[in-house]
Amino acid sequence: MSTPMLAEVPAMNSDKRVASGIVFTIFAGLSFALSGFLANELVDDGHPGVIVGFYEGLGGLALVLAINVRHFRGRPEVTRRAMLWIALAAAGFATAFASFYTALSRIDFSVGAPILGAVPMVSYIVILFVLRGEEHITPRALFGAMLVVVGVGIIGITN
Amino acid sequence: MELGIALTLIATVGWGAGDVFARKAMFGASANIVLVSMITLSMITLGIVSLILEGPAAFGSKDLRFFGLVLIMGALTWVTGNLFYFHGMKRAGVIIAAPILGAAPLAAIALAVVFGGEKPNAWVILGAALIVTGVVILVTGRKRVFQ
Repeated sequence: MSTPMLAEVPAMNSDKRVASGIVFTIFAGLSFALSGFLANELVDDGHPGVIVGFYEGLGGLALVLAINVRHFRGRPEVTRRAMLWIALAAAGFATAFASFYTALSRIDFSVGAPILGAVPMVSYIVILFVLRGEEHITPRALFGAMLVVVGVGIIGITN
Repeated sequence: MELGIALTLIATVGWGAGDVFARKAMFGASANIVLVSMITLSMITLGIVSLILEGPAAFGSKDLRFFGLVLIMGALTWVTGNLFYFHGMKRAGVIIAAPILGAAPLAAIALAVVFGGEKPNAWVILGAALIVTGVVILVTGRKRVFQ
């Protein structure tokens, strides 16, 4: 199993690789939108948001393990530092799932989903502190991200 | 309503920060390992919170429709969602990937127009145009993202 090191980044950053990353992300966005819609259905049926999030994670874990069964046969290479970041990321995600699915019992999905359009802005702020030296926010990238957030905001407010 | 929006804002912070922490973890572990560890830890956390807030009874008395839907959601959120997103982040960097993911409402609008027969108003068209322009700017400037 390969572990990406900082020195490998320029080699990894080929056009093809970045393009494939963008395609992966677009599919991920469509999946999240559909999953949020289904979560809204379940919460509207009276199921608590945290319970929905728990069972969703259980199903997801079973599926991810089944798909990657060969990948996990050897001893995984994980640094201690990575484990710390994984724990922090898990705390962030668990908070997000619990909050958003609970919120869906009080607001419509069409109201909540556009608010999540501000996620990139939060990420950019955190990047300034956490990924300094590893990823660099260019003025161009910041401008592009701001247009996305403003666009999502306009759609959310006018809907 | 206000509590719902406040909870959504908390979720926004959780996902926004979680994405970057996950990206940071990928410098010391593969995307798959990061994902599996994260699902496990998230699930344990949600399980404990559920026990405290809802009690053990809330875990039972679920029908087949519930389990069918959460399985589909599990596949969408963690396999085609986060697994794809983590590989996307690893390849393109979180600076490019995060805003593209943030543009997901555009897909919802496209689906509503194409399959739902909805007609978008001028504001929606303006918002969509801004999102598309933003994504084009991000995608065409990608080489300068990494240090």
